[in-house]
Amino acid sequence: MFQYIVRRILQFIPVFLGVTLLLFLTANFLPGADPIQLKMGEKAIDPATKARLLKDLGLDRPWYAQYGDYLSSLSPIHIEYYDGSTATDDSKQPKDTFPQTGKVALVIPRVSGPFPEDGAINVTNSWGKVVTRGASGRWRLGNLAIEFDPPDLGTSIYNGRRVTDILGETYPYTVRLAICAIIVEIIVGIGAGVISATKKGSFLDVLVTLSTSILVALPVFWLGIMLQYAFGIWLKDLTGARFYLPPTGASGEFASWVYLILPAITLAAVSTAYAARIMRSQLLEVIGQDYIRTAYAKGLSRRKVLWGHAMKNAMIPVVTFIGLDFGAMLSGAILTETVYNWPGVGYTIYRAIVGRDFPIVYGGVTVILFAVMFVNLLVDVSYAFLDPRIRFGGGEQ
Amino acid sequence: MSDRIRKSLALSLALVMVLAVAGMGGCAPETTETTDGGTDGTITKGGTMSFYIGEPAYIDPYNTQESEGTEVEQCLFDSLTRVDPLDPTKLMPAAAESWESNADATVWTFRLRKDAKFSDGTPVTAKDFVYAWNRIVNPNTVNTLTGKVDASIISYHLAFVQGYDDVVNGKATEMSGLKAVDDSTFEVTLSQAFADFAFVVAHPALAPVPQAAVENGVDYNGTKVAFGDFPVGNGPFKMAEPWKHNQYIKIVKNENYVGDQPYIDGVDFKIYKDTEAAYTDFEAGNLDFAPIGEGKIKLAQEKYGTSDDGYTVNPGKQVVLGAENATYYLIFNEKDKVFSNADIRKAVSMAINRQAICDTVFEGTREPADNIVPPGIAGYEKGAWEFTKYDVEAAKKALADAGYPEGKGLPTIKLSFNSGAGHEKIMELIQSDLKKIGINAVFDSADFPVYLKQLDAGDFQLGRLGWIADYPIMDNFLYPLFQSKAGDNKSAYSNPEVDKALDEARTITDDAARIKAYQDINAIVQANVPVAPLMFYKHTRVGSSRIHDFVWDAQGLGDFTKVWIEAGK
Repeated sequence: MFQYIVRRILQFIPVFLGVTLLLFLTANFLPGADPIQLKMGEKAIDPATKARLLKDLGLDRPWYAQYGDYLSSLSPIHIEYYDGSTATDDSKQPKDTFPQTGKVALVIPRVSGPFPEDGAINVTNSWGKVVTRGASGRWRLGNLAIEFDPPDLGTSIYNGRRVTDILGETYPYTVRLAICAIIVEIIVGIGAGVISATKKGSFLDVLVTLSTSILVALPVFWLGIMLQYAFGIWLKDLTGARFYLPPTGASGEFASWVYLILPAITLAAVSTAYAARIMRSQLLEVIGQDYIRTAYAKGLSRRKVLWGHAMKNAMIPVVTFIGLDFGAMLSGAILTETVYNWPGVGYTIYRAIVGRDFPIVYGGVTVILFAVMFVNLLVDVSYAFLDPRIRFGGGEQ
Repeated sequence: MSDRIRKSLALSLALVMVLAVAGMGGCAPETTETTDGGTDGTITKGGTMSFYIGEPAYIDPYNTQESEGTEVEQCLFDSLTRVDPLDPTKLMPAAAESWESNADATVWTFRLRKDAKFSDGTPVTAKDFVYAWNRIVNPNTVNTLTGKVDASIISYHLAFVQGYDDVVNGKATEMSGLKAVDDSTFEVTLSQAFADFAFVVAHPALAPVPQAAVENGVDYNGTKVAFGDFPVGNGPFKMAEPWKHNQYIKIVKNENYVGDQPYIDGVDFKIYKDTEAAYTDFEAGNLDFAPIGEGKIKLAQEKYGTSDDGYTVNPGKQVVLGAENATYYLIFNEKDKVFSNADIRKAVSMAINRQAICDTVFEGTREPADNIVPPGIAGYEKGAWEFTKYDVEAAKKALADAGYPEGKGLPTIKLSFNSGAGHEKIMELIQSDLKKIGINAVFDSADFPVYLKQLDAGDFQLGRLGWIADYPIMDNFLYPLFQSKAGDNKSAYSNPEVDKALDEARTITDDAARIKAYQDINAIVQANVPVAPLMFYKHTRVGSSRIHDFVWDAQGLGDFTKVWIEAGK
């Protein structure tokens, strides 16, 4: 089991590199104006100001160098060559800065000047970009300065804010919404599927089949708008006209959960319908198998057969679906977030793509990648729990 | 199918239909809210107004660049002068009590209010202006939110100031043209004459900032907050708490303000992701001022009543549809083989039925343009651009004069615009109008970044643009759009006579004579038809029935000092 998890984690490395590389290539070869011009909109920008801003942001460099910057900024450890010389001209450098001297190696930047034992310093790296280093400590090993930094996702081109701050504000909302939606999906989807399968042909079965057919055909944004209309305007007196999180924030923890109800239902609606349909068909298929008949013949109760034998096998495709869906929800639900003015990460990334605010896109995708890989790992582990062949390695061979 | 299944199916269908019908009931418009209509003359103090904005880029004046941030920032700061909200052709004193220039408009002296203070109690002096303006131009200015260098993109406002180039190019850190003569006298020397400079300094971004607060942060409940999240200003309001990004910005009355104190206690700027959500929230009674949703203008007018002057909101007269200082226009690429011919440009301009576009696409909330300069600007002349008149016969004649009678022999032209921003409907009407005089046009739409690149590279024939004035003066339309070297002159219009006249007009200190000079320039430009003005933008916002005397001016800035909220509402 442990080996299985380690293998899964190692598989994450090529996936991570592949996805981010693809992202960089796409971003760099997207046609159109640069982010600085987009910041100005239809108004022209002074060419000198633009060139300077592009240089400040490192956007004047080739894509592979920018990709290197990105990977380097994610790394918690940095090693630099420390040449021990003193700074030649302090006046031009900000305080506590290692001035850059001479040609610097590609991988290990050379730094010089006094060696502060602790505290963050700004290092000008080989391509003239100022980066913060050593925020969490610094060791000296001969001529090498080994520095520990928290991963840095850069700053937004549009408003200069730290990407970690932006994601720190928005991602909790997305996670909260995804958790609520997945709970709705699990309870309602699986519940409806099981009822529908065990009471095949009944009124409830037909109701589930029919309503899930309608639900899968509904556009999410339309459903969101209709729910808002119904609860926010039509049933205004009943709900106090509060149908989405007010921009001024919710007062009290309970209130902030109340605002999740409609967005969660909207986000979960289509997937719940799919989950119910998959659950129904899988359970029906399993119930028809010989071993279930054998179980009945052994005299087991209906409940025991259903929950002990049938459900476990019928669940695997459902768990796969729900797991993948949860991953997708963690990537941010652009439509639901937009309709409900939900301050999540999906809409933030979408806006960043439109505005070519690449640091937010890269940072957002990085966080989402980790979240989705983690959820996928959990799904894989749950397979192992549900299917002994996987747990004991049989399923892998 | 068994009977049981059939019965169940019928029952379920019936249930679904009942639910559907019930759901549709919810789509009907709610009963019209009754409003009390007009003010009764007694002003009540207190209350908090809620106001829609999108997430601003910056509220720190050094980089206030878009309408959202500017709306907030202008409440927190007073610049030297202020444009009269109801008459944008006039200036009012703000941080400066009075101002004057020398004879050729190159040296400007602003006398500041002696008793003015920032909201933290520190006095406002001329040095604060010097510091603030240098901060805008210095390429090494640090964004207080990150501690990293984040140069301003709006330094162009100060491009006239002597020493600007040296600071931009890193040769100096302070502009030589800025001088704090004493605490209350601020002297600005320009590198070239600019008689309208007093309008430039009305821009909200050119406000003073307290150096200590910028560099050390601001104390808030025992913690240090970055100036960028909690700007300290000299305006009628101050921050109530740090900016809650993507959620809200709360401001309250600044008791240290030396001008008239506002009637209301504060403003909650609620940050929405899209205007539709804001309008829904407005209709639910949770917002005092919001943009009207697309296609709902007429309905809103019936429901809430229309403002008399287009800018002032009072109960029962809540929809504001006043003209903005902005023009939507088509640009001809004069370097293009087809559009280098002025007669073809005239033909296209006269073939377009502007009224039809305004009526069908915008429910009449835009006005057909008859000038590149909108009506709110001093010097606007009705019908000054003669080829904006809709005249199919004259258009046909112009096309024949160009050598293409009924469009024969004229290649199909490309109509370029940015997709997904609602321009498609306008372009469809233009396409069919052009067809009527024999010009075949095809769409060449691209997403915004790609379209901007095309415009920059001159890779278009006929394109579109919108110009929003930074300052309500004719110069701000004519100089950037038609001076041959200006970055915004996308039609590549070049006329040495116009270039010379534009520079000369800037030196004329007599208002009437200067406006006359600009009108003359406008007359020369319009005869060359480098662009085809299509529409003047108009406001499409609505206020709630509880707010009185709220003015949202032509520049899109709210006057929160005069608004009051009816007691008990």
